[in-house]
Amino acid sequence: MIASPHIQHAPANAKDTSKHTSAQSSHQTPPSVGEAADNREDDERHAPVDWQNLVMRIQRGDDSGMEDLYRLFSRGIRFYLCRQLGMQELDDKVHDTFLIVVQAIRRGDLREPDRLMGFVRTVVRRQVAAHIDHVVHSRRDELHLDVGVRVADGRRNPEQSMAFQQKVDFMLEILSQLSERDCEILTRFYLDEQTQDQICREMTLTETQFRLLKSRAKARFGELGKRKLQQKMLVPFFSRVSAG
Amino acid sequence: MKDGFDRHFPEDVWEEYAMGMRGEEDCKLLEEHLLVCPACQDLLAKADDYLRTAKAALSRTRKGLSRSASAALALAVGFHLFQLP
Repeated sequence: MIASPHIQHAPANAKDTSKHTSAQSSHQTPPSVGEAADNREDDERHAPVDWQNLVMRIQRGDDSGMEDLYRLFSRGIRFYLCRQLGMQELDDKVHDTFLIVVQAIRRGDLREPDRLMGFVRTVVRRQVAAHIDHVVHSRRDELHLDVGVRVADGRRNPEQSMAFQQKVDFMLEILSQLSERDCEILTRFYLDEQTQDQICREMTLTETQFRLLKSRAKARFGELGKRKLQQKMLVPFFSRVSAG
Repeated sequence: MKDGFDRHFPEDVWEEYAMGMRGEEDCKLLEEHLLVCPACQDLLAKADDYLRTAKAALSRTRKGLSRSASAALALAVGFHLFQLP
C-alpha cells in the first residue's frame, strides 16, 4: 500500500499554488489550498490508496479493479458532470467516462499509476468540453433544421423554485438586519465579484474583519434556515394536537 | 482499500473555487481531490447553493436600493421645481 500521491505531494503543491496565485493577481492573495487543507490534517486521517495495484488489476481485467475504480470515482465523476452539464443523460455520461478511463488504462496510456486522479480529471474535463462543443454545434444546426439535440434544461421545477425563493427570503431577512456598510461589503464580494484585497483596501477593513462578516452572514443563514425548518415541521404537529 | 481522504478543504476555499477565484494550479488540486472526496463534494454543493442565494438576494436588495434612491431623487427634483418662481 502506498500513500495517495495527492497527500504525498501536497507540501510541494502548496508552495507552487501560493506562488501561482500571487503571481496571477496582485490584488488577491487567498491562502493556498495546500495550506488550507493542512489546517485539518491532524483531525482526520485517511487510508491510502494503492494506485499501482489498482491500475495493475484493471489492466489485467480483474473485476475487483473495476469495482474499486467505480467505487472510488463514480460519485465524484457524477458530481462533476452534473455540476457542469446538468442532470440530462447523466448516467450515460458517467458510463462513457468510465469506459474511456478503463480503455485508456488497458491500452497503457496511463504511464504513472500514481497520477490516476489527475488522469481521471483530464478525461472528465474533456468529456465536459466535448459535450459543450456538441451542444453548441447542435444549436447551430437547430437554427436551420429546427431539430436535433436539446440543450440541458437548467430551470428548476416548481418545488425547487419555491425552496429557492424561501432561501432568498431568509437571506433578505438576514441582510435587513445588517448595516448598510456590511451589506455593501457582501454585495461587492458576491455580486460584483471584487477581490477580498480590493474590498479591504477600499473599505479600510482587515482580512479578519472581512472573513468574520462573511462567515457570520453564512452562519445566520444556516441558523435561520434550520429554525424555519423546525417551525415548518412543528406546524403539522400542533395542528394535529389542536384537532385531536 | 478505503476511499476516504484525510484532508478536507474548508468552505471558504470551495466558495472561492465556485466563484472562479482560484488559479489553475489550485483548481487542479481541488478538482482531483473532489473526484474522490464526498465530504468536499457536499461542501462545494453547499457553497454553490449559498452563492446562488446570496447573489439573488443581494441583487434584489440593490434593485430595491436603486429604486428608493430614484424615488428620493425624483422627490428632491419635484420639490425644487415646486419652489422655482
